[in-house]
Amino acid sequence: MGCKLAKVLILVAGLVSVSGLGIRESQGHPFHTSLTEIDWNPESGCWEVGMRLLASDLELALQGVETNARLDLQRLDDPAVLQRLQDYIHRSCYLTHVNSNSHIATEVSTDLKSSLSSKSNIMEGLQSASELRWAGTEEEGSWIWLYFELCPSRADGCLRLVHRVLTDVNEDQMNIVSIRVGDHRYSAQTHAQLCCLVLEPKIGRISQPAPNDSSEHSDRTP
Amino acid sequence: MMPATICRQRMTLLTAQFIITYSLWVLGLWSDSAIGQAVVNDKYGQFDKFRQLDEIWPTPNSFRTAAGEPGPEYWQQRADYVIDIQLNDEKQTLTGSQQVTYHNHSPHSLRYLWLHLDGNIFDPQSDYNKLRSLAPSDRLSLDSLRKMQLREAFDGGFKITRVCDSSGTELPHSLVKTVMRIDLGQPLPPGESFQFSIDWNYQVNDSSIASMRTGCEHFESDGNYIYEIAQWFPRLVAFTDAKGWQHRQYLGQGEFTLELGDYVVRITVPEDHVVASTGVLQNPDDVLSELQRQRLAEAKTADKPVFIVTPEEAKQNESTRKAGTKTWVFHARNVRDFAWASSRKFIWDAQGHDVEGNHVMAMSFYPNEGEPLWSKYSTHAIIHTLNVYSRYTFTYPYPVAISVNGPVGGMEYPMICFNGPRPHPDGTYSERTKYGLISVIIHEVGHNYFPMIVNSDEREWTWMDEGLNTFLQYLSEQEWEENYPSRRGEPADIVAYMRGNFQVPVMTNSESVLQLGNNAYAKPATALNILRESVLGRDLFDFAFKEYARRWKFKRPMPADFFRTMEDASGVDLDWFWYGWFYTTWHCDVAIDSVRWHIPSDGNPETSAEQKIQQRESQSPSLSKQRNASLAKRADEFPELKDFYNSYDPDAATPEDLQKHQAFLESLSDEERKLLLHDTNYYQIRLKNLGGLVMPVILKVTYQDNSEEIVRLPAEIWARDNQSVTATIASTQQVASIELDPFRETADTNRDNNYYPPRLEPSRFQLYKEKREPQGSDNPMRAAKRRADAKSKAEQAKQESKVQPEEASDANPAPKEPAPKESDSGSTRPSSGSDASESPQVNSPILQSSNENAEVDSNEKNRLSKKERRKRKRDLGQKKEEEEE
Repeated sequence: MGCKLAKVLILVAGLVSVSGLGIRESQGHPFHTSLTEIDWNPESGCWEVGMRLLASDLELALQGVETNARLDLQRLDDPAVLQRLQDYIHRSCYLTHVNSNSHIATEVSTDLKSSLSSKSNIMEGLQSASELRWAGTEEEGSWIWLYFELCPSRADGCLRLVHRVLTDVNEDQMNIVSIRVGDHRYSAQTHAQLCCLVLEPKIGRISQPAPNDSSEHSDRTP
Repeated sequence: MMPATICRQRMTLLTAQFIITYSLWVLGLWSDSAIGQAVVNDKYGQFDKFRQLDEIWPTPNSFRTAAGEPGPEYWQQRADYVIDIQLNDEKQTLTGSQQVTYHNHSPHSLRYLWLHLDGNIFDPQSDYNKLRSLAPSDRLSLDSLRKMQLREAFDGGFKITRVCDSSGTELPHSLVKTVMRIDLGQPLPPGESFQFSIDWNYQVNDSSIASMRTGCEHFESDGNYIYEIAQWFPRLVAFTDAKGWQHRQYLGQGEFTLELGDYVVRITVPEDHVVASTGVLQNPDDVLSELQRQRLAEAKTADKPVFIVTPEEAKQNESTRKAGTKTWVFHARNVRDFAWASSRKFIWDAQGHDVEGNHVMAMSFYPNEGEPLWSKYSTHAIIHTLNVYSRYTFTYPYPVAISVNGPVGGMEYPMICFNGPRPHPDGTYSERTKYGLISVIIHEVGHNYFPMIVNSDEREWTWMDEGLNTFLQYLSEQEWEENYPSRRGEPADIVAYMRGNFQVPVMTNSESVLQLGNNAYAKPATALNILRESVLGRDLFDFAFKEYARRWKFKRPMPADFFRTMEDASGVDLDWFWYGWFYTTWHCDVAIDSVRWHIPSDGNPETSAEQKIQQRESQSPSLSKQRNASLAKRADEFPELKDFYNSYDPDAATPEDLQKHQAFLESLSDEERKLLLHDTNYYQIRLKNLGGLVMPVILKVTYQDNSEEIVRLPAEIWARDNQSVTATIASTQQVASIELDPFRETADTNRDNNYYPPRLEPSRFQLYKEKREPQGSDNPMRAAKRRADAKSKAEQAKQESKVQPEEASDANPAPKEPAPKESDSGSTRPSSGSDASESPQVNSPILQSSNENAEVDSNEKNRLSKKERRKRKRDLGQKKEEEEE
């Protein structure tokens, strides 16, 4: 099925079963919701993303794997800090082509490879097929807005949006995604167990397949 | 194209009339998965969103009335405690003994009593630990893994060593996870009391390993602990007319409700510890120095916080390890729980404050790690909270209000609360941390009102305290300073959550709530703010809300009591509001579907003819007509074929028509004639309810002369058809544009359909790209500090270079170049190269810092001056107006 970007059907897919690994300690606050606004820009051929996250949770997500040293998001003037942020977003939010063949790859956190590889293998369902073009950040009280573009590597084919930002920090993290194509707006959400949205063509409505829909489970962890 | 007659200039001063018509559309059967808690009542094929809620709410009775207040036979139990507790600072254990007097005010005989053992949540086999779902993480840190293992191995939970009655006879008791049942030898009759004792002990949880609402924090730098001790003793389960025993298991999310009572608590801690606690200290002579007592006396009448233990003294305390112990005795009256904190690291400040005639000691306890933030804001925030909340509810009734900094991020207990934010180790802090601290203190101190005094049931209904409290928190924050960055309360802030569909109604049991923060805190708080601002108005809302607080102060309201009281005291039927916001997951998305413009005819045949012709001519000719236009026509070739009908215009007014109209006008009275000839435009605005939630409709109408009008239509516009309605605007002016919900007061989730003519709102990304602020930089406080340091160093270097020019010159062989003092060491010189670009001035780190500062200054100025600019703009505007006057 060809994929036109003018209309989007979002299908939640990618059931990720629990891996047996614990989440990092959250902040103890009960606000585990983020907002991601995605607008299709037909001129650039990219999806423009504005993502609002609780800064304290994002800091926790970025903290050092080995040291637990807290990262300060107000140090984004430090290229290393900015790079870590961009890496995290690139790893947690990307597009991929649904019908491409290559996509099951085992990815082990490089920081843990030496000591924990046998315990913490994580199967990454799909590899990114989009370029992330960073635009910037903006603070708004306790929130931080991240701005970037996701540009698919090719224009044809259906796209899958993988969005698991902060699901590694809060077990009940809910990422509300609002997608606008032209004058149509669609809302859906991702969370730890359902971290993907499939962008399908032609049908201008949202539906969510049952979690046991096997056709959409390529993002499964072992 | 507009008819000429209606394009003429109209009066500039307008009057508009609004006529509401309801288009009754019979649509398909209503279905919504979120419904299901109400009896279905289809109306015209729709679910009736204005149906009365009496069918859902409990039947009124003599305990709780239909008006929402306690009935004539309302009762509640009571439990008084005397507790002795020892803190072992070496092992982080608590050993306690308590005597409880339980008063049975119910009309029932009780054969057993239930007690909460919330500490059992730390048992490795607790349901809480078993039910914690594990989310996938590809970056689990070693530290996290270590903590996970320690948490699994932590042997928490109560060790009950003795349960006996007042005569010392052992009482049979059964543990059921986080609750315990004590069987009474004889049933406890109504009106009687029963006294019994329990001995127990437990290991205090290390908050860095097992984080909860209680725990201790270890400071590696000095080896000390801060203890924040809560939900720490066996507490009587609430027994109520509405619920019976509220002994739902403690699973971590739903907090608690308890019985009110009096407490005497004797807390034995290391001699050099400072204790903060619910209640009033009974033995200051035994535990405080004379100087501390003097300071405390001074603080009672001070106009700003006074240190009882100074930062220096606290620092000194940290290094001591006195061998002895002291027992601090506290007495608290009419509280529903008791909590305390202890550490030798505590700084202590206090200020007495008169809250509507009640003298309250506002006090803060915090380590040096909390400075300078805590001494500046904590006690002020307490007092501010008491002032604002008391105004909206009732006078704060207790003698103390305490805020403690320790391992708990934010948790409330009677008279005392625990709050987590701290500055960076270098003493600087971000704006986020500053406002985070003020907000959490307001929130947690505010919980004294809900649910500590208005004793709602948190284990059942989180929103009843968190929602109401977050609403008052918002009001308090807005009175702290202009443009306070509140996170919850404004309708626009809940839009993101309302867009999602993975949610449950607010009226959902605490343990089943999804997205607790948004569901139980933000959504009800926003709903109440909308009710106040856009539905009832401030006066009516504030009266009703205060009445609810007054009615249920030191009593135990249920949700219907709140809903009923708000209606009873405001005189407004709000069932539709409660249903939409609290019983469903509907959201607000109202769309302008179409706008139709009508100019009513005055019956003048000439005008009618002109309009018809205008309308005919305004239509584009069909494609065939366009293409046939150039074809030669026979009638043109043979003009004799044309007759009367070739020039006759059926729409043109005839003399007979004109005569008839004249006669009609003459038959009218002057008033009728004036009415008929009045120039009025009618705009029919068709609105569609796409989100389900019925809300008031607010329209901003902009006319062609740029004048504006705000039209407010009550939610009842949807009463007969809650899917599609038509609002009609009548005006002598022509409408240029219409905006739905211009002040963003209904939490409309999609504003793209709120405009006529249609337009899309710019995306957040687009807005950012347009203004494109610089990338985030260091926290402004630290940057300022760095600048100050750099400036100081620069000045120092400048002075030194003036004093030692020869020395520098000697060290730097380059001729005619001023040299820095340190040049001989090479520390400030470039590592390579010797051309002019490496002149000491250019490469001096000090000077580089100065240059960098200039840039940061500029950026910071841009960033920080937004609020200031707005303020200045306002001030300038006012000043200009004054000058003009």
